[in-house]
Amino acid sequence: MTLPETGQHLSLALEAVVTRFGAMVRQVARRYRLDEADVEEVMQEVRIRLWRARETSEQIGEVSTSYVYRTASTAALDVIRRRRSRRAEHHQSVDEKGAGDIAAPVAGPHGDLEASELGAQVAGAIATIPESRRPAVRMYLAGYPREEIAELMGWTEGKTRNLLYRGLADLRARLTDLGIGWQQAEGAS
Amino acid sequence: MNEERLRRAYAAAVESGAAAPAGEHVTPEAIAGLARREGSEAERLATLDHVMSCHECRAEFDLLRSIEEARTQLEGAKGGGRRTWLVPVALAATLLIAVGVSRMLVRPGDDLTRGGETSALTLLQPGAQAVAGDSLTFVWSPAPGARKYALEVLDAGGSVVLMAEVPDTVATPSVSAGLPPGEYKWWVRATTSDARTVRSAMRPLRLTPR
Repeated sequence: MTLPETGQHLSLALEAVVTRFGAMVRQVARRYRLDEADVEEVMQEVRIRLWRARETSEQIGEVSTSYVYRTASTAALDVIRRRRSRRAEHHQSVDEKGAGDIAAPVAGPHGDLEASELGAQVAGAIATIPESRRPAVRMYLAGYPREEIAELMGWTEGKTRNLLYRGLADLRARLTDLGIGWQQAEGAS
Repeated sequence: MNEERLRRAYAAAVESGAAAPAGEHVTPEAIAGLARREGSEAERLATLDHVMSCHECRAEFDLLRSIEEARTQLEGAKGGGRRTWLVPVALAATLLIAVGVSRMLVRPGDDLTRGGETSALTLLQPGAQAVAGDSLTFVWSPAPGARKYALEVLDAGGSVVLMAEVPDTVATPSVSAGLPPGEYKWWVRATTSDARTVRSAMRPLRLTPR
């Protein structure tokens, strides 16, 4: 996707707001190890929408960060919807081809198989943790720091620590029941 | 097993789809609500549970959260600039009134600190009592280095009935006018630019019938 013809560019002021916003999104996205192409797709969509929003680029030059944010937010939702739709179409076409046309999964090295078995055991054990604790444990194992869990859920640090500590203890107990021992007692605190 | 191996195993399970529960993905709108901290805690927990177990939904969540955080950081920086001259002026008058009122209406033992850490952040307005049905304006003192503030109002049972995130030290959430008469508590948490949190004490608030 590209912007319409030259001469129909965004004003310098608007470009500055979009650039600043885009730079900040990229900075945060890097922290989440997001694919840069995802952010680029959204920011390009933002530019197109802003360009279409007003008749002249001078008029949109006055927009604020919050206007760019709202545009980016709806653009991201539309990008996500489009991707889901493409994925669904792809799955449908694969289904229509029939199972015979699809290559059978190739067995990986022994290590991969072991990791995948362990992953399935861990996933199964997490699924048995009480619902109130489970999302915090998942987030923690996915690499989000405790402060971010607290911020996202609007929890105090104490509540987050408590839920995480208990959730991880539940997980260890379940894994121990499955015969998976622990090298050392570790916690989120 | 150690924690590093556990994380790797979980990452493998998420990547392969083994961690995701059977059924539909959560909607993009629900993921956006989670990133914006909108909706009830139960709804957000359910969404988060799926998002953190599904490779595709997690990437969507991270994208939406990046946009949310960019806004917070940019508006926080802008709000920080405004605070340097506007808020002290606005607060000066409020401070004189609110400190006087709070000394009269709030007993020292009424304040409870929620969740540890320092209480360098002082709640100024409203006082201990207000009329239900009016929009409430919440005012607090600035915390050094704060880039955003989260306001929470809890009912007598401790459930969060109002939550707002603002870059400034004043919030007038429109939903506050919908709070019925009763006993409440409110508090504010500041997040600083170096990701520290500063919490206020918890202050009681009685909403009386009109």
